[in-house]
Amino acid sequence: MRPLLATLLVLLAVPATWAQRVNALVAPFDSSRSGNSHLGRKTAMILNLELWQTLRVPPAKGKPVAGKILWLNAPFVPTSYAMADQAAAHMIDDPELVLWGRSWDYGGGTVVEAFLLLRGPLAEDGVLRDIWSVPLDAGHQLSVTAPREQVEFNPIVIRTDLLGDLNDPSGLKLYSDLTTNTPKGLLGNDFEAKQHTANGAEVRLLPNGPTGWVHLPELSKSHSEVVDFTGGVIRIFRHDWNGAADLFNKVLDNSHSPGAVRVDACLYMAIAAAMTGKDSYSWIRRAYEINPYSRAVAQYLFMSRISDFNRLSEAAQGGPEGKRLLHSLQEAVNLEHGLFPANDPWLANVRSFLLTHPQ
Amino acid sequence: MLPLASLAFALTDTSPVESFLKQLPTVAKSPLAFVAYCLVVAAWVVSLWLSGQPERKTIEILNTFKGDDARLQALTRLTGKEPPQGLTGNKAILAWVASSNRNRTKTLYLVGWAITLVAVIVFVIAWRATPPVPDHEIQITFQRVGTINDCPDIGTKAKLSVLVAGKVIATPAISGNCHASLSVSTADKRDVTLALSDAAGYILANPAQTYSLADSEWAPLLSSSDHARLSIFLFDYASSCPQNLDTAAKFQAMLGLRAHAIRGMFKPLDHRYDYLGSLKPVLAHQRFDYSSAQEAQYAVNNASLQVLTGICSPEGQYATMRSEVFAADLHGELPEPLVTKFVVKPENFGDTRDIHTASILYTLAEEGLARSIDRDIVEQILGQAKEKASQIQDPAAVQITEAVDRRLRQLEVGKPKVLPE
Repeated sequence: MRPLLATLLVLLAVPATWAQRVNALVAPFDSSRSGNSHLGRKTAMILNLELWQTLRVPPAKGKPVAGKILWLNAPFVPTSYAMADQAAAHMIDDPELVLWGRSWDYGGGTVVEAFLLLRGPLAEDGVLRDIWSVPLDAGHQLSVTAPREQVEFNPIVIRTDLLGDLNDPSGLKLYSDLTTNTPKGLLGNDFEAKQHTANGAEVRLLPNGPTGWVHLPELSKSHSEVVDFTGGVIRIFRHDWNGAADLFNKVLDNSHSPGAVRVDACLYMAIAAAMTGKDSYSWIRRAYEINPYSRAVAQYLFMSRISDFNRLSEAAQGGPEGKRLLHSLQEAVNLEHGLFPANDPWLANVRSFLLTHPQ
Repeated sequence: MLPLASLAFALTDTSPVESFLKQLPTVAKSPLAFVAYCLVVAAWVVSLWLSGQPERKTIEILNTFKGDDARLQALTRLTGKEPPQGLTGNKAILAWVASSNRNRTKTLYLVGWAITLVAVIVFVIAWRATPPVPDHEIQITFQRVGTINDCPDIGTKAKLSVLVAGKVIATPAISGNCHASLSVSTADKRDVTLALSDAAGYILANPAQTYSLADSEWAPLLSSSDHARLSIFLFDYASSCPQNLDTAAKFQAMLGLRAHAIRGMFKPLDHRYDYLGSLKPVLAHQRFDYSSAQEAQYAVNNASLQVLTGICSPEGQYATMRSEVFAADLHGELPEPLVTKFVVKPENFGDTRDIHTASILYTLAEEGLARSIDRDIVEQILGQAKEKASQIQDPAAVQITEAVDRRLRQLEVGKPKVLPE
């Protein structure tokens, strides 16, 4: 397969020194079951633009990682996670995230199923890299990967009448400002955002084109968690902890978010909280209320307790607060060890930590 | 004639011996073959008759003439040789006559063998003159028992044998999925039985079933052996929804895609979950019409995890899809059948999808328990079922959530999970 062409939507004001980048691909959705062959491309295009709107420059602190949303401009429509991975693997940017899906005609309306595949960040051996690490003793550390690699969102009931005639982002009209109705051109393939507003975005055409405004169409009347969640994951990968928390809060406030997405949002919130010195355990508890039988939740639970313990001063670690955290961790291990395979090395590290820190 | 026969060998790709054996029944009945038979029979009858004639005549002479002179004269006429002087006694006379005719007898036998050789040549000519007997191909298509045209994948390592009275007479080649073919002589019309091994967990449902070599198609039925039960059978949904003729079909397609999504819910690097990748929907292409006992047997025979059936009926502006989910011995804490009922409208798509996902997950956990797989896998699967069902406001979702909780409490010996402060 040849490298796939992609429209590049690059984040505003990314310093040239930011060599690292998080790439997300929004592939055309499969609309073979909807009777409207253009529906899949339109749906993906709008999600692409909505996701693009979530990109922002992270605060100065943290890791300088750029964000980039890719558009698959090839007649390849993934219909499974494996095909989504295949599409991404053949792109030059090798995106870490792939949003794909399919649309259905169902019950007299159009429903879109969206799925997110987390392919990265990948370590050199191709295994999903750890996204949260806490130090243990003697230079060792305990790490976790993303809670899950395949995320299934609540189906979106879309308003096809709002989709217009667009099939890809390059066809969007460029205006001098959002109040005028006379376009001054088309957006084209390569552009970057200068600022986002509720109704549109100010863009600059690349490499040295003019600036202008684009109106962004709506996908559905009710807000979907797809964009907030995916945007949140991108921010986590970019170490934009506060930005990620903003988006995951929206996911949790959305009554349509399914249980699995809520669990993951809570776990990502726990990472963001731990990284910004806040209480992560309350987020773990929320995830635990939804699914107390998830190994990922158990792992994040242990990580949270160890992270809290590590934040204490050496004196405090030996004091009542330190003992309370260790006791809590021991109880959690006793409660959750059944979720791990026998002789699990990850759990063995936690037990080893407890052995070296007597309560 | 000969070049044509050679061409026939080339086309049929069989050895002359095989070809001869296959053609033998036809060749044996040909006119030339009858000429050969007659030659052999006539040659040997005449040879034997002529070789025995002097002894027969001698006996006649001995019985006719009592005086030695008269006998010797008659014997001289018979043999053309004068008998030795003093030859007396029947025994001595017969021995002398046999000895005198030895060369003649040898000559007669030689002629008999020569004619036999000629007959063999005639038979070979008859064989060469007979057009080769065409093979006929039997297409073998395995079907899962209880379905119409469902093609289970028996793998390429499967071994199929064709038996007559317990003896293997052929081993048809497996061409993939559920297909095999057998080439047999059109003249062969025997009844045979089949034996199947190494067929990816499938066995013959009726191993005593006989098949005729005269038929052109066989459809042996397969059932599953005791491997993981990972088939979700979708029976035809009855539909009386005039405004949405394809609603039931779309509903089934949506359920089918659910099965493919289950493996991805668990960590890809934990290969203990890989078996879930074999979870697959099977369209039965028929209506479900079984009693409870039959359904249970059907489930076991077909390695079925669940059997789904239902009805689409119009209710006001929308259609309503009512599903019955049978899990037979795997229903565990769920009612049998689990009944779900959803109005078919876009807003309900997600709940409909997730209810069925949750019920599949719950049944997978029961299936895992039945096979005593690692307990942590069962708990993870149950956890995923709870995660899916707990967010849905629907009686079936409540039933699944409660079933998960009950099963998990049993697994933990009644100990509730309360997170420490």
